[in-house]
Amino acid sequence: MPAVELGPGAPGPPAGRPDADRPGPRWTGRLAFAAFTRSWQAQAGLAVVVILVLFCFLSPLFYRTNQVTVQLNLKDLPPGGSHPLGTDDTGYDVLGRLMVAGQSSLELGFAVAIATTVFGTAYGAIAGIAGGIVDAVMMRIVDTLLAIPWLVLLLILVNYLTPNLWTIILLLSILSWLGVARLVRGEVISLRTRDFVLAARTMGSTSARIVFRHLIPNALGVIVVSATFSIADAILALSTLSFLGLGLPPPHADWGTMLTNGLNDLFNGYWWLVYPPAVILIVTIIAFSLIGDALRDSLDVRLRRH
Amino acid sequence: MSVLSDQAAALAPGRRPGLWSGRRSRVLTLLGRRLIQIPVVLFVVSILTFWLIELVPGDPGRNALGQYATPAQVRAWDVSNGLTGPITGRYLHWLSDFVSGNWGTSFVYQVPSRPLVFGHLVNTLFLGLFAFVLLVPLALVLGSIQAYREGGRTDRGITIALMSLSSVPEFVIGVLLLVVFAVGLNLVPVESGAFATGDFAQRLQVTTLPAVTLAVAYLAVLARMVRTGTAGALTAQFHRTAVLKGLRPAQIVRRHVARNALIPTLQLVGIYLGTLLGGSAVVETLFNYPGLGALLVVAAERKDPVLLTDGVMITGVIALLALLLTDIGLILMDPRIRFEAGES
Amino acid sequence: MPLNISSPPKAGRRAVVTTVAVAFALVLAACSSSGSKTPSSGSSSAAAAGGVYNLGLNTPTGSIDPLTTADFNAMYVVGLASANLIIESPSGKLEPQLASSWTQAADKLSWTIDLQPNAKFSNGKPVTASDVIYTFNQILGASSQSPAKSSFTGIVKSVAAGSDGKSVVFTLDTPYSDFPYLLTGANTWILPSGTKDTNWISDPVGAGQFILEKYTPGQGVTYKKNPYYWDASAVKVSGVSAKFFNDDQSELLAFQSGQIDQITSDPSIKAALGTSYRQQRAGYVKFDGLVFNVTKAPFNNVKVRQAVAWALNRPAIAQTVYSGNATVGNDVPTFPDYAVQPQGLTARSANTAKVKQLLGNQVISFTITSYQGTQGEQTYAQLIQQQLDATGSFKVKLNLLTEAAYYATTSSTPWLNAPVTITDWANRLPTQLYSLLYAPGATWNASHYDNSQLDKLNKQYEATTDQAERQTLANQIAQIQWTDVPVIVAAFEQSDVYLGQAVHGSFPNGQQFNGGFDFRGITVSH
Repeated sequence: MPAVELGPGAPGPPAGRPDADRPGPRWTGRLAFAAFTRSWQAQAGLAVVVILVLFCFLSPLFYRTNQVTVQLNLKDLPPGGSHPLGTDDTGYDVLGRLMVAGQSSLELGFAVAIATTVFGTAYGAIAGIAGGIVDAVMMRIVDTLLAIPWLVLLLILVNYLTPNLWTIILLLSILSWLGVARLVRGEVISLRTRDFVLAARTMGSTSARIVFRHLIPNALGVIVVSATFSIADAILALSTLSFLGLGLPPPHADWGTMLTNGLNDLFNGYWWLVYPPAVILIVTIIAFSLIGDALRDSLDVRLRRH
Repeated sequence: MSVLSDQAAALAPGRRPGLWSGRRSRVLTLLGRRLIQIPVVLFVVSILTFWLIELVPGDPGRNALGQYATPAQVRAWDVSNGLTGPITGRYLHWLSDFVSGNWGTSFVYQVPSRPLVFGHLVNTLFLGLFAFVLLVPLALVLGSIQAYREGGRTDRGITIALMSLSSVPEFVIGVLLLVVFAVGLNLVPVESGAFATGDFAQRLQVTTLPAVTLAVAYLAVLARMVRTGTAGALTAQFHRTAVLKGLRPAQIVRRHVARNALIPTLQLVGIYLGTLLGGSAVVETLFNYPGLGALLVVAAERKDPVLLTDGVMITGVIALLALLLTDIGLILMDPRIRFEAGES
Repeated sequence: MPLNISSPPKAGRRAVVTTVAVAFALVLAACSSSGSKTPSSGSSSAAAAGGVYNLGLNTPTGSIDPLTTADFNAMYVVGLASANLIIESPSGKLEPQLASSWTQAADKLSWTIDLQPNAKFSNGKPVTASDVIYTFNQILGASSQSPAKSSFTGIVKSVAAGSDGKSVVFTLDTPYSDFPYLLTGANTWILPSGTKDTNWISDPVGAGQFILEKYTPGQGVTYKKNPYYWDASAVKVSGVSAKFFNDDQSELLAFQSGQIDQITSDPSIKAALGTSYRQQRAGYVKFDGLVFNVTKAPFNNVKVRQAVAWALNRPAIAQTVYSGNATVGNDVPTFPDYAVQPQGLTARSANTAKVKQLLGNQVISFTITSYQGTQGEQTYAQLIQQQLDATGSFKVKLNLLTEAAYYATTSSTPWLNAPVTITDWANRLPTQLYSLLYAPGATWNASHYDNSQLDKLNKQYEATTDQAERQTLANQIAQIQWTDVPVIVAAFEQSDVYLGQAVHGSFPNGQQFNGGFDFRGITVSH
């Protein structure tokens, strides 16, 4: 197994060496990267994500369709001719809609992942490094929010804010940083009693220096893996919101909403309204999960997915 | 604690009595602290919930009486249901009711709140337990197979299969199961709720589909944990020793590997319990299963502060106990975590 | 939500199905149509003749109490166990219920209602004049929270027992020729004298066709036949089991698997079920009004309002939004089942030349505000956008809010303030709709329309009993509504109910609240 982080023989210079201040994981990071790129999960996952991004953001430049005004005279057309994947119940071209919807879904996934990772990491790191009363208070705040079922919190907030892409990103971020914060705090507490940190502290490094030079780089594995999974989780959560009727309002779309609307035509054989969004949604989530898996294996992070 | 003893602890957790008692004292300290902190957190949760529900647009009186009622009638209805006046006063009224155990009435359902909440809690726990019973053996088998065949074709195949399964939104799986087993084969009713009042066999019957849906959602996570845990244990020192001693594989699994899976399992139960109440809400809504998650969704949508806050208190207690469980697991599992004075 | 109280609101949630599910569904649909089905054992307590009717409802959202109930599902729950004095058939005809006949006095200021001689409550006690008086005193009392109160305010002066002791006399403030229709509404179910106005559900006594046996919050209600119902021999089913659904998809699946005996049709259900089940008309339900705020530009200009009205393709709206279950409207809120239909108006149809004539070469831009969902408003908004944009004279944007945000209770609530909105209105008398939608200063007058001439004509209409005079007044009222177009009424939606294979007979009075949820003549075989 490469690049051990939590294993007993923690990497990093042994205590007392003059260069103890040097961040531990730099060379192991390079090893981990090599291991990552070698794994089939990473190759497959990355390839799919690149294709998806090109499909959603680049192909609309070549494949132009009307995705703003409804054309009910063109509704529910089967695939063929000028509509390779047919049209939906309001006359939108399904292929073009997949692209537009994919933009929302991917933007949301990435935005939520970045927001929750940045905030959750900072919060968890501060709690973990501060310790004592500060830590206790900060973590009880997290507990408070975790104690309210997320769906209840979401329903209340989504009814309060008018749903659009940005408010949904905000809401999902508010709900997802809690897990990241707990994770990073646990990691920081575990790391800060490690020898190389103790050594750095003995040698008079400042707290901030210890955090940025040692703790965060060492916890990076956990953070990156959790960020990757949170992309998939956010896209899945958005589809759940659509199921509850709280998704993006028309004419905007996301894959979950498309899938949800496709249900209306469950029994009358309009398969092109169900298959394409279902397949692309599932493939996307699998792709991000594969990347997350590969990262976890190469960084050997023991991560609990909540 | 020296590096050496750390290593020993990691290789054979719980085997050295001295270490174990040290952890036990830490666990006890943690328990003591949380015993004081949990009520405080719950108090804050109740204030937050009571205040948040005010944000939901809509007037319960108008919802109840409809468009033809006059504004004065709507106001009178709100007054008679205790929904007007300063929020502080209403909160204190709720608090005294809650503490005294006389929990007031849900205006949405027009029945006392306490039996409603506990009745639905029992249903959710039944659902959760059912799902867990379905889940654990399957996850243990799949995860162990993967661990023994780590990196092989079987491992990859199972990984991909589980990943695909967990990539399908649970409401999709739910509808799929309904279409096949309720409509197609007519084995179970579509609607769990209206039938869940019968005897135990009937309860099992109506809970099966929601439980399977819930189990599918957790299967990939659990199997992954089993795989990691088992793989770790297989490469550990004591396992190698056991193999060298010539123990049969079954014995090894029973005596060593399984024992070392105890702590992760404890954590898992914590995580599972913590996410069950929130996670089951979608499944409960889809199947109209009378669980606490779906009840709270209705209370939030319909702006019923008494029912919502009462219910959130109960889910809060469970979620906080679950967090405590995972934290205890963390202490027991990772030898390096030191819960120093003032931390927890 | 508040506005469409008489049509079954469909749950907003939507379930989704994967590829595999569709494949399975198609295969299974094929199997199930050929193979024989055994209904689930879950509800097989039906042994008596006629069987237990399995009813699917959405979970009631309002209170469950005869005096205050306001949503369709709660009305159904209460209505099965309660009875009105009079009910209204889907064709708009009045039918006797607890009242056997009704007559207007010569001075037009009082109505005498004769009670059925054998009308009894579910506890066996006879329905007397004092029960009727008690009920209406509850509705009209100072502390009444009953939504029915506003229907009678300014109309009914007092209620007293008739001289023969078997009748009730309503004395009115002003003549009101449609008065008996007001007795068919929800919240005018007759209660036994002395019934407390709270917690009816814990002691549900009524004079309806069924006795409420058990109510399980959020799950369902069971009823058995009421042997004391005045026309009990005509009720063939031995009971009703109502189950509450939160999700349209699971309700549809329950119907297809035979667990419930009926489902209310909507476009997606119609598409799914096609013609393989028996359909029964339940009655006219609602119209979706395109409401112009006449105080806001560009709709303060009547020509713009008329131009929009002439730009719409109404048959296409009836077909697309209501999947054909609708009658085309002409911007007058008189439901097609009402006795007096306005005459002499030109039926508006899509006419681009007229639009150009009204607007010249201007292009009018505006945003339609409505809400998302499957009840038709969203599709309607999208279709209007498409039809208006196609004329070249309009540029339309949509602002589709969540239902809660649209009907927010703040003073700036979108549905009463935005320049143009889409709101659904339940089937009511034309004069009732006038006083809610068009009357100056009315709370729900979202168009902020104010026309004293129209107000005067409506008061005259309410008072008149002479048929010819009513027709003349109705024509004049309609002419103003048609010319000024504060509200576009493009189509009146009808509700259909699909009946399962086990159901025999047909519902004599539809399944709207004013039809009394009448199960006479229905039998089920399972």
